[in-house]
Amino acid sequence: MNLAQLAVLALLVLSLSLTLWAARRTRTRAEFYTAAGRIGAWQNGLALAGDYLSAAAFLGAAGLFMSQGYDSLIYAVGTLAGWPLLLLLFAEKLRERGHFTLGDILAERFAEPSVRVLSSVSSLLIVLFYLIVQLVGAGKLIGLLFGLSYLPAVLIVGLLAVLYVALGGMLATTWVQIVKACLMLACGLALAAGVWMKGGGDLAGLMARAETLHPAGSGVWLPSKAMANPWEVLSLGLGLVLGLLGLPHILMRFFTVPNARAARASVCWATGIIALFFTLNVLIGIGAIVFVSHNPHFLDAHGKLIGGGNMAALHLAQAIGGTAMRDVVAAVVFATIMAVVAGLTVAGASSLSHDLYAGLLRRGQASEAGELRASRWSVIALVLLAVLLSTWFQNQNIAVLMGLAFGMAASGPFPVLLLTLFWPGLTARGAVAGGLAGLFGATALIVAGPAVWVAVLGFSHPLFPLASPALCSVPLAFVTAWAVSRFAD
Amino acid sequence: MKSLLLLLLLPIAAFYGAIAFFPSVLAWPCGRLPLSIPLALGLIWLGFLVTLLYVRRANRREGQS
Repeated sequence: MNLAQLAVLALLVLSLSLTLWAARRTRTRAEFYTAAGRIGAWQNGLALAGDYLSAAAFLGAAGLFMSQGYDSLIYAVGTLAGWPLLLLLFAEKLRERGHFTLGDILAERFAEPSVRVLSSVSSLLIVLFYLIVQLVGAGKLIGLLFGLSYLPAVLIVGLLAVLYVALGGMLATTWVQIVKACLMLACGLALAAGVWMKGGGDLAGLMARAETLHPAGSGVWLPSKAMANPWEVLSLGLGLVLGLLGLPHILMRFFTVPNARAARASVCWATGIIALFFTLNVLIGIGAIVFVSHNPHFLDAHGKLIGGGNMAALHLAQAIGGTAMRDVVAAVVFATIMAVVAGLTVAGASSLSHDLYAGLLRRGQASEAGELRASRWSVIALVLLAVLLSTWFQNQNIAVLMGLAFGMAASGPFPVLLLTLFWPGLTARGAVAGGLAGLFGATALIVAGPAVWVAVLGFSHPLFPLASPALCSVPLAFVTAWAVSRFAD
Repeated sequence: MKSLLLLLLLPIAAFYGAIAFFPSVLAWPCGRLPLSIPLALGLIWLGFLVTLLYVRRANRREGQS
């Protein structure tokens, strides 16, 4: 058994022990969905960071910096800007209303079942797309790291997610995310410190070497050609900033703290951790250019990085600290995947069992035990569906699904939630029409855009020129909600 | 809250506007670095600063009431 397998085994023992501990404290609906609101501010802050910083952020950001340089920071700025906005607009208001799901917040204002159906369906779609991306990434990464084929790898991840969430509910999920956030931050610090020391503590020297080695030369510190279309840049920025404000698994975390003060403080913790991580990533990215991109140990016969761009951070770990450091980082990647999958699963299952089963099928009359049973079956059903779909999507471009999840989150739940909380003129029909226009608008524009219409379907020109739909789909949702509320009721 | 929203959104909008329409601005020198790097890192930490200011302000308001 190598060090990576030992480290993964140690993390599995730790996470399953936490799950068993949490299972003894998860007997009611409130405990399952929100850990009964007993999560502290710093704990929720770490869990929020753990929920948000997926393997794509950990591995993808370093790979993106290595290939496209400054573009990685453009993504980071948009991502960070969403967090204070989340605090200013939603965090306290969500906590003050103190429910289990987003559907509850909307149902508090609108009694019509259609509003809860919209909320539930949009949450489920976003969670499912996000979950498929995580599972496809997990299957490929675990295959590369541990030599497992795709299906067993995603089945193991799925089974672990079922165990964490079905047994330990939100409490186990939270602690898995806390452990993951701490490990990921420690890994980021170790990698950045390693790059600093290997570069002789000379940042200017490292940057000069990066300029020499990167194909763009000094252009590595400037936006790449991918940012050449101004409207694409604006649409990407808008989608990155607003997408966060519609992600169900992030919004749900504000129901887990005891009061508004803790909700505020938890966003502060999360923002600080994520900002630190993206700052460290600049040094990690420079290290990847200098120590990995031209190192023959990490390149195949065609001069391409072994395992693709996402392996840049792992190769860097090997370049800095040898196989031992690479194995430890690989184990942290595994923990990262597990934590994000668990967070998504608890959000999706809550939407299924609380909004659809208890809220609509049982019209709010479900017993405590019945709803708890339904939530555990929902976990199994959701993970099974995601595993099945991930096997179909394993050879597709999963970046499209990620774009779809973010585009939908920015265009569907975000406008509806914002208008529900801040605009007294919104009607139930307006909320449903706005949400549907945003969801379908974002989906249609992504399909008609270059990422699907040209890259997947093979047409020569896209029907819609932008890969990111937010610039059109977000205003479409707001205008539709306003127009239907104003003129149709 | 409005002043914090402006403090956050104006620089972010200006940043994306500059990338979209005036990318050459980002190449201006800022010490030994191009402006792009300190600008992006500054905006990343501006997000944290805004959350910190809001939390302090809201806690003080809550303490007074």
